[in-house]
Parts: sequence; structure tokens; C-alpha cells
Amino acid sequence: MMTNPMELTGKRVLVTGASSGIGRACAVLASQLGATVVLVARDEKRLDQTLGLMSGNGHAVVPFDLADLEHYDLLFKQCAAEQKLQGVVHAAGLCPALPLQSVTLAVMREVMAVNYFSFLELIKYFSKKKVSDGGSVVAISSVSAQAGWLGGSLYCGSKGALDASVRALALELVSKKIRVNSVVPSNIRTPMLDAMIAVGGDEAEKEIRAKQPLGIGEPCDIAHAAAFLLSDASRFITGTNLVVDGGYLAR
Amino acid sequence: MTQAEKIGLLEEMFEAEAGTLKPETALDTLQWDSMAMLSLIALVSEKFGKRLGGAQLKAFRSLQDALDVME
Repeated sequence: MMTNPMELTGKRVLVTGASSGIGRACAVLASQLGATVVLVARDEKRLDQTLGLMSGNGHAVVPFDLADLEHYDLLFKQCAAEQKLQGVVHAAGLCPALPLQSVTLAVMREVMAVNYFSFLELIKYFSKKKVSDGGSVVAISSVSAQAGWLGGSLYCGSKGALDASVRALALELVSKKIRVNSVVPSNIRTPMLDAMIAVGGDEAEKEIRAKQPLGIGEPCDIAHAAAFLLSDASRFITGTNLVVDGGYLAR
Repeated sequence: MTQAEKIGLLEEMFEAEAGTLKPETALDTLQWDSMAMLSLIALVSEKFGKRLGGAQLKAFRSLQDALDVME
């Protein structure tokens, strides 16, 4: 009999940022591996589009603004009222390219809310007995946590915070049988990257290609790593930041 | 927003003394680099709700070009 070590059958996984890019790819792949998925993001229409790409049944679409930090109790009431969860992928994120003088307090609050505080709130609720009996948490981080770029002060900080918390949470949640890891992508072909290239022009794309020996990655490249970390194939891995960057950090 | 207020925002952005910038000021006499372009994108997005593109910004020559998109 063939066995698939990345099998996710029987697991229920919440994916944030599931309306596009890496989050969408993670949701679709998880469904193909047998998971049922709870799709979370602001845009209901685009969540429905993701749902249309998925395999299997039993998935749920839950429109929610992840910056709305006061109301995660309501989010989890909707997501885990009838069935517990076994996994979370936090892929929602904002990527502002802003010189420090343009980093207003409002932008700081918004970016940290969506990229980082959201993660703490998600895991706070995920790790409650009512919501899970253990499982795996995957944060989608960035090479920006380890390498800077012009205009990245806020974004780099938000991803660095994520990776640091992954280590601390991995230790704290051992007793709850929850593993906590991050995937660390470089530039991936997503709407977020297309928007950056639209601002920077062809030169920006050339610069990115020069930095990544394997070229610009696809969302599925990151989804594969996230699925591995969700699956029992990675049961001995916790507190790590798994770099999937086409060689970006090798330079 | 008045013309003077817009110039004030640009003076703040370029860290120029108040009253020193004019619409005809050439951008290449200021520090008009990729960081300044990102700053202008952020400024125009925040105050005027408009998205500027890189190609558009590269064609800018004087402060007037910036003022033209600030509405």
C-alpha cells in the first residue's frame, strides 16, 4: 500500500490570508492532501474563489478582518464551535515599502496588527482546550526577518517578531502537544509581489531575480513546506524557521 | 488643500526649510532617489488616496510634477 507522509486526512486547518497568494495555495494544497479547511480573510468574494479551487467537502468560509484584534473570540466561535481544529496557517500579511519618515503610527499599528499581533491572538485561541487537542501551527514569515531592504524597516520587524515568537511559543505549547514553526519565503509570484513590481518597474523585477538563484518562487513552493509542517511527517520539528527562498539567504 | 499646503508637505518630505521649495524647483537639485519616490507614493496615498506607479514617478522633473498628482 502506498503511504503519503504528508497526508492531512482527518485534520481541520484554519488558514488566514486564504483569499490570495500563499494563503490561497496553502488552503488548496491542504484540501488536496485531505484536510478540511477554514478559510479566513477580509474579502468574502475572493475566499469563495479559493473555495472553488479546493478538493473535498466540509470547508468553511469565514470573512474576518484580522486587524480586528478585539474580536478573535467571535472568530473562533464561528470556526471551532462544532469541530475542533488541528492546525493553523497564518499567511495573512501586509508588505509596505516605506522609508522610516513615512512610517506613521497608524501604519505601524495596522501592519503589526495584521502581520504579528494577529498571530498571537490566533494561537491564544487555537491553544484553548475548547478549540484544539494539539496540532501544528505554521506562520508564514519572510527572509525579511533575516535580511534587510530599503523601505523594509516596519515589515522586516513584523516578520522578525513572528519568527522570534515561534521559538517561544514552541516551548510554551509543548505541554499542549502543539508544534509551532514558520516558513521563511523570499520573493514569491503573488499579487503582493506584482504590486511591488508595478511600483518599482522592470528594474525591480530584475533586482529580485538577481537576488534569487532559483528565480521567483511560486505560491505552491511555500504551500508544500507549510503542508509538511502541518503533517505528521514533521512531528519531531518545533520552534524552527524553515527557509524556502530559492537561495536568497545563501548569498 | 492649497498650493502652499501641498508645497509644505513636500518641504517636510524633503526636509527642506519652509519657503525654500517652488513649483519650478528641479527634482534633481533635491535628494530625489528611490526612497524619496517611496515617500511620495506614501504621501499621495495617505493624503489624496491615489496610487502612483514607478514609471510615472521616473518621468517627474520638477516639483510641479509632484504637485500635479496631489489632488
